[in-house]
Amino acid sequence: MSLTVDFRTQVDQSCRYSEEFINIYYECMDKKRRNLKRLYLDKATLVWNGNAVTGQEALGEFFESLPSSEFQVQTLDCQPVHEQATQGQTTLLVVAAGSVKFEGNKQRFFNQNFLLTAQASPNSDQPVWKIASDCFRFQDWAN
Amino acid sequence: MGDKPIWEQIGSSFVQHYYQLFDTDRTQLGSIYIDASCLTWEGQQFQGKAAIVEKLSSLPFTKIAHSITAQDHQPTPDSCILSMVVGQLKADDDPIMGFHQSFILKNINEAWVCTNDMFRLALHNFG
Repeated sequence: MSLTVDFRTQVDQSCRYSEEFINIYYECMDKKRRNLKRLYLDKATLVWNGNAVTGQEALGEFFESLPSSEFQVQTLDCQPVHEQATQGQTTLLVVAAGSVKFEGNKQRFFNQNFLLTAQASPNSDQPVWKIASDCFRFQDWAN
Repeated sequence: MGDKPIWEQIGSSFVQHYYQLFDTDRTQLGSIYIDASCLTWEGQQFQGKAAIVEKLSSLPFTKIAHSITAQDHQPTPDSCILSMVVGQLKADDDPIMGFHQSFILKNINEAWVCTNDMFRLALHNFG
């Protein structure tokens, strides 16, 4: 068997959280771009096709500078990050892939990975997920 | 190389080592995982060094060659490294295919190991 029962449960729960988060993220990206920076930690870093952007304010400016978008996510993978690697903090690694059309550009394929960290929510027993690290790449090559 | 941040040096060295090992003898990849490591291979989940090596060793091809198009490495708040690789691979006589792979690297007992690994082919025929 490839997974223990406890770990299977943890993975399933992580995948549910990830799917919810990803739906919110790309809807925000496509329709409510101004709010997108709120999904990031204050000191989060985005690497966009090799270019680094750090901090909520800089991220907000960067996203506002991008043309409007239509994202389609075709594959989504998620793993809980082991506590040995995160000093006991609840962290998820999420990888999304699919296609995106930025206004004025042709449709392209993309990959994006997120390191999500759980923040306590004052209003709920469910955690609020924030992005600690984000890496985006177009997947283009000559066929 | 000296002007690159340390996480980029470590990340790119790891990536070079990983694919070199994968392309020459993937049964030896156990050395980079620990028992808490997770692998997601085309959506299928594996936990632990033994299960991961078994999966990688049993992949249905004899020869494989990876070519890296781009790699990005970031430090995480807890001193790990998040690495993302985009590239192409050729297995046996199959056509060249795109792939992307993500790793989380952690320094345990003075050695960098992979705690999380996710692999997908970029087939792009999503219809």
